[in-house]
Amino acid sequence: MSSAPLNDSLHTRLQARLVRPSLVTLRNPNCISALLFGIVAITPLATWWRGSSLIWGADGSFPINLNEVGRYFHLGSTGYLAADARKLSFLLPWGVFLQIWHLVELPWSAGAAQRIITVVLLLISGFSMRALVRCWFPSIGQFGSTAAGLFYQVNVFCITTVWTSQSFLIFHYSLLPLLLLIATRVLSKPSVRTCLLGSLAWTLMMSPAYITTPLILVDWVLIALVGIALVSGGQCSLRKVLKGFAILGGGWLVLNLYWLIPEAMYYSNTFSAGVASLGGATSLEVFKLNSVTFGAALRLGGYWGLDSTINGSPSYPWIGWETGWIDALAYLPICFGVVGMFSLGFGRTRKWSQSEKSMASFLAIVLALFLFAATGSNAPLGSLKIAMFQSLHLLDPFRSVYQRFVEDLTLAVAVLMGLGVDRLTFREARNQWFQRFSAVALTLLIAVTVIIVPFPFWAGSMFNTSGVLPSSRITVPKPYYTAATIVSSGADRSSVLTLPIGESAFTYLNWAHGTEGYDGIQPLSFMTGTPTIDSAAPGSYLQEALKESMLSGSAFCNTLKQFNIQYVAWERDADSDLMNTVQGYLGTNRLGMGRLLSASNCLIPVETTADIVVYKNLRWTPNLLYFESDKSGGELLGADYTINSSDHIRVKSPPAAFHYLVLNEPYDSNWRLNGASPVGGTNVTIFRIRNADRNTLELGNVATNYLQLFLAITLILMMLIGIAGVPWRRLLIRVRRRVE
Amino acid sequence: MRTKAGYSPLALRSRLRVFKGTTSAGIIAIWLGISLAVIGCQAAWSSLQSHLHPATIKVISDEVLRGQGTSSYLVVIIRNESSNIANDVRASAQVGTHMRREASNKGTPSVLRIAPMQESVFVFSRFEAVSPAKIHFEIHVGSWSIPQLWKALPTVSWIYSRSQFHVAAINSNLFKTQPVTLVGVVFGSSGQIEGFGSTKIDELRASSTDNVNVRVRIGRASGEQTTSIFEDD
Repeated sequence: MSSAPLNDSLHTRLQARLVRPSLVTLRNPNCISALLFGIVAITPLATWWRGSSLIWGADGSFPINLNEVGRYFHLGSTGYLAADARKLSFLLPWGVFLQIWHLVELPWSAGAAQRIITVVLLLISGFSMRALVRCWFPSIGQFGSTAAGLFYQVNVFCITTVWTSQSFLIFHYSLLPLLLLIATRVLSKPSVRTCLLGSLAWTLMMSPAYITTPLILVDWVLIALVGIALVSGGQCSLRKVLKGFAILGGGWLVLNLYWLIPEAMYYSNTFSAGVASLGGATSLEVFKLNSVTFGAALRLGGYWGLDSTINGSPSYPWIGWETGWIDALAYLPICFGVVGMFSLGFGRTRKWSQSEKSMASFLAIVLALFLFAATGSNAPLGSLKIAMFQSLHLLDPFRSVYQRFVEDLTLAVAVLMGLGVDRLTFREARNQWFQRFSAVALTLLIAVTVIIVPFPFWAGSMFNTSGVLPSSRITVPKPYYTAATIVSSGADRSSVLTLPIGESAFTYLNWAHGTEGYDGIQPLSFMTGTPTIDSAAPGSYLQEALKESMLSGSAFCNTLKQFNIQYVAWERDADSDLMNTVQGYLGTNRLGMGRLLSASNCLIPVETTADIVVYKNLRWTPNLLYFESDKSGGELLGADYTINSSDHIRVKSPPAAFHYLVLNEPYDSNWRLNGASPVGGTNVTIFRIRNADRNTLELGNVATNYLQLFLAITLILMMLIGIAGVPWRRLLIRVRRRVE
Repeated sequence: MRTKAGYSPLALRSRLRVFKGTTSAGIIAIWLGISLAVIGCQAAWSSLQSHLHPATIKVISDEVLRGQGTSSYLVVIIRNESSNIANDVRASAQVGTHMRREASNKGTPSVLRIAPMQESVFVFSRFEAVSPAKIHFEIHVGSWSIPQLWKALPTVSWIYSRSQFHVAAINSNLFKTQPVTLVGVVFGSSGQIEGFGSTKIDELRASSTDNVNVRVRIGRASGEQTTSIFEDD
């Protein structure tokens, strides 16, 4: 009689031993996972930054100064540069959050904010990947799920593309497992409330990254595949999943209209601008360039840019590390992944549930799909893939094949690696020594995968100097802050011209007397809300005018007036050698530039430092708008106008002889004069003044109107969903219980 | 049930049962497993090769060559007709006890890289009568393995016509001072060494001696561990 409880106890202990991962015998595996994820997240604090520096990749767009955030709410306020609607998705949550922070005048430190965001995102990526693996594969042990989380935190792809470039992809990459986790939960038990909450979470997490719009399509496909996996795993019916998917997707669509509509209005310009910035290369050429070989895709590497150099200096200073044996070791995760697929794909070795098998198949298909896509024009079936992308009109948006597809490949590999590691822990083995041996061997292999292979992550060498290329650790010199304050005090809708000026906003600067430097998008544009003219596209009206006036000298003041420029910021610390190597820059000759600016009698220096000199244009008069008697020119007359907001301007009526109003900005069909579209223009935007309108002339940007209207609606909807959807009372009770 | 020939059909059938219930994860796992195995084998093979590789062909003339007068030239020509040696052919030359020199009439970098179907000319000026005269001439063939070189070398035949040494390449006014001594190495289109040799000519016209006396040493990159010597005396 008494042996029954004893047997039960033994049975339970035996079961616990079998279920518990061999890592361990340590008391709380959750704590160990948390500790490991924490180490990964905190290490960058010691190795990435130096002093008060910022990390600044090629796509860096961190707000150095919150003065600049306001401009994202106004599409037309770009000075004499085309409106860029791609950045609108940044508004929620970051734009709104930063603007509120700015309005309530809380202190802002870009350095502190960047460190906090990095640590938090790294933590989320690890924890959420672990949670995702455990959600999809409830039978998996702690060892496997922790390995998956660690690998997702640190791998070759994330150091190549995510953290090095410092683009908004950091949000997408880090939050993708959490999005899939939410999607799985929502689709498996769909209700209107949970689906709308899912849409809200999706919007808040991912929208900033949708500056790269193709990611939307990839995410939709991924979530749809999760739905299919849930159906085939018998977790819910097709009808339920379809319903959940419809509400989730519909909710997301409604919440994102604030940027989707304005972006659609500028859509035709979006991709062409992207292609132009690649030196005129066609999308097919870029597609081929970004396609990686099959072997390289398996180790998540092979990005062509890794081998690129400027003046003999590698663009990626750590490329020397990822060669030879290290490159070979990068195959380890996919090998683990294959083991994982084998263990679930044949179902003889362990008893996995139907839903787990189904999820493994989903992951294998995702892996194969993205492997197939990431190899682009390369084998297997390179020509077929090109034809497919072309026929689906996806070649333009997906020209950066590596960046778009290897991210999801990494996710699939991470989960499958977790399964493989779990399989190799041999939890069912009775021999403890064997289990211990496998645990030690696996720990070593995982260490190789997450420490040795992506060592530049740990050492911070991703951001080191590389020959003539400066470090990605930047310390913005104080004069730049002063310059930003000066130009910010300029008249509304006047512009600041930065010199030297390149064909894109990318610039190279020598900072701290050449001991530090900067290569990235014009830093002043991240420090002021004043429209910054920091690029002149090849062959554009602006570039031609600047070229001509710089050569002649005498016409420089006229050019400044012509483009409504009130301030000129001459960056004396420009790295002219690099600029000349890269080519396409105007004003790199420091002596000649100094002469030109000092000889221009309209300019007076208001801030002179070794790094930057700010000149004020004394002859500046508002030149955003003027009248013309004839569409093709004729007599000109300056307009008298009042700027209500950056994109809403009231214009005083002209004499009867003037029939046209000219907006001194490149043609933009989204401007309206009293509701009427522009009638023409290329270098400027021309409106016909109808006689009936003469009493009140109001100019507005319709895309901005939509943006602001839908942004307000979205914020209200978000609050409603947040208040009504979240079970606050239940949460509070749960928290109280925990505290007690 | 085991038979003399191996497993019986029954046993095979029972073994194949393992594939029952195979999901797409299993199929993709097989595909990727095979791919990884192939990549692994390729990597291992190329790794093995790269360890054998750094091979050097040394061409040493056993003739005592002496310049005539004070302004003689020694001209060395290499033509790389191989596509699979590709850019890995590097050459330098040494005459006697002089320091090793990489010379060119075009002022190219010190170590010459010769692309496929290109030739390179080494010109040693002041090749005087008093100069020690053995030509010491190394060609680094980069990604060749020792077994490949072993395989390639026996195919070399030793008698060549002038045209195979591409004398025409230097038939210009740049080299007025004669006589010159030529050494040529010809890589064939298959990557094999088709021929090499030296000849002394008084003028840039048909050579009287097409027979050559050269020694080839195959060794490691250091050039110290000679593994084999072929002679054609």
